[in-house]
Amino acid sequence: MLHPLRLEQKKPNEEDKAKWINIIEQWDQLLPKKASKVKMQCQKGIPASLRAKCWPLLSGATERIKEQKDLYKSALKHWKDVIERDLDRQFPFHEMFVSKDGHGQRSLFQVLKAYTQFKPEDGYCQAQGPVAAVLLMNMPAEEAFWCLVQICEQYLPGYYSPLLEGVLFDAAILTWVLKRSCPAAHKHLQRHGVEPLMFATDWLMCLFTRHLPFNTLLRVWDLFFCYGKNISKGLVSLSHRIVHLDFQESIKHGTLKGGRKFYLKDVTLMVLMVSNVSSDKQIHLSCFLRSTGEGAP
Amino acid sequence: MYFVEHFSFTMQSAELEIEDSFDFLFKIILVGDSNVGKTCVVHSFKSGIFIEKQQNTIGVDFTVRTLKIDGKKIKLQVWDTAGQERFRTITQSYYRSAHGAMVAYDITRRSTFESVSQWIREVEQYGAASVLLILIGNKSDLHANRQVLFEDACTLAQNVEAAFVLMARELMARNGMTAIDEISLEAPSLTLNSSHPVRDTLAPDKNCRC
Repeated sequence: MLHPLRLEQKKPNEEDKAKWINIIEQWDQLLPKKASKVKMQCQKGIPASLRAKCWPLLSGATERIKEQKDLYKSALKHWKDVIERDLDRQFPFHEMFVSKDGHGQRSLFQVLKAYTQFKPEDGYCQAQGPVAAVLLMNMPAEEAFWCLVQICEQYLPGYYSPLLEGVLFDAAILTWVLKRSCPAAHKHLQRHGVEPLMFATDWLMCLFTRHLPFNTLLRVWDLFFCYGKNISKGLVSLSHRIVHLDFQESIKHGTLKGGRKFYLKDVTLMVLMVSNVSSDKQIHLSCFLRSTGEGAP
Repeated sequence: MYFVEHFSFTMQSAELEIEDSFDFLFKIILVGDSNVGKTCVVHSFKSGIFIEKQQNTIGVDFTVRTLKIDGKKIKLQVWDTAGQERFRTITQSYYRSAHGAMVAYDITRRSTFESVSQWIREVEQYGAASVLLILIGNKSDLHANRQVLFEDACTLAQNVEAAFVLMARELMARNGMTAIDEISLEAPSLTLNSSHPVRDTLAPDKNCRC
């Protein structure tokens, strides 16, 4: 074991540097005798300019680098390229993210990249981009990163993993909720072969970032964060409300006759319309979570 | 008639019938690696305008455009898919009902062209047997950074098994060589000869022309 560095030690001089360079050069021969000579030099302190070389040597990282020569580069490069290609595609007209080297895109890269390192088995999912971007609009990068971690781990587990099992599950739940609480809309969608994954994948995975007016979105997220870990039901509930309201509004206003094809774009447009007109009403009505699937608004 | 579905439309509102009626509906699925420009192609097909800044597609998105060709109303429903691999669990299920598939790659990124065979296999595996394929080389205005020769795309197109027709096109949505011209060129041959097997009618087009 190496002794901990003493803070009061004297600053390594040129002589120490030379000794260290000597140690580095003869590392392989010195390795068995690490105990004596190296330990002593370590106690005196490693010159700052040589730490990058010495720490990996001392810790054995140098050996591991040799063993898996390209591992780090390929891991880093893989996600780096993929994430970089997405940076200018999150809120491309928002002033924070408009410029290629602006702090918005830079922070976005750091947060997303950090996540891939934090959870390499999940890596990067494209739907995390807009979520991270909205977080960054509201807080510094480090906080945004940990919020993203909480969202991915606690709030929406399985949403961004390679198999997207969380999304598939919630889409199935949405079908069920619709069928139970708004059979007319469910039947209508079914008749035309429209299933929730066609229109709700983006809603759910991006947490409505691209589909709600910004102020509405922020209020939805207030509730999202507040209501805790069981929230994915809330997303489903909101999606359900949207489809439900669309359907009712469309019948009420006669904008879409009951028999008309209910295309995905229509649904999306209706969402925007409905949420623009009555965003507050919509949220109150849905009570967001409480009434998951129950009753009419 | 394998390729074309003819819809007889019953509408409750006569007014809507006029707006929404069509003679033929084609569903076309657009696949390819992430950030090759699929959404830009769809957008310029839809509106004729090239917008470079597009958000990345999550899941599927779709666009409808009705074209009038030889007096027939042709409704094209383009299904734009997310390119990232993990979204395939979602997008694959929509291959089945597609009449045509467009496989897009970026001429400035070799890896996206190397993925093309994989995408073709996906379409073969999950799509209908008669699906018509077209290969699209995007961003051809960036020829200074070209990593894929058009000839490579043609070779690939010719070497693909004859289970379907594969044509190669390069698009330059940015400079006004729009997707619409390219696609509507094909549309008449698909529809006018729809009573024949589509494969045969398109055989002469198999060679690349660009």
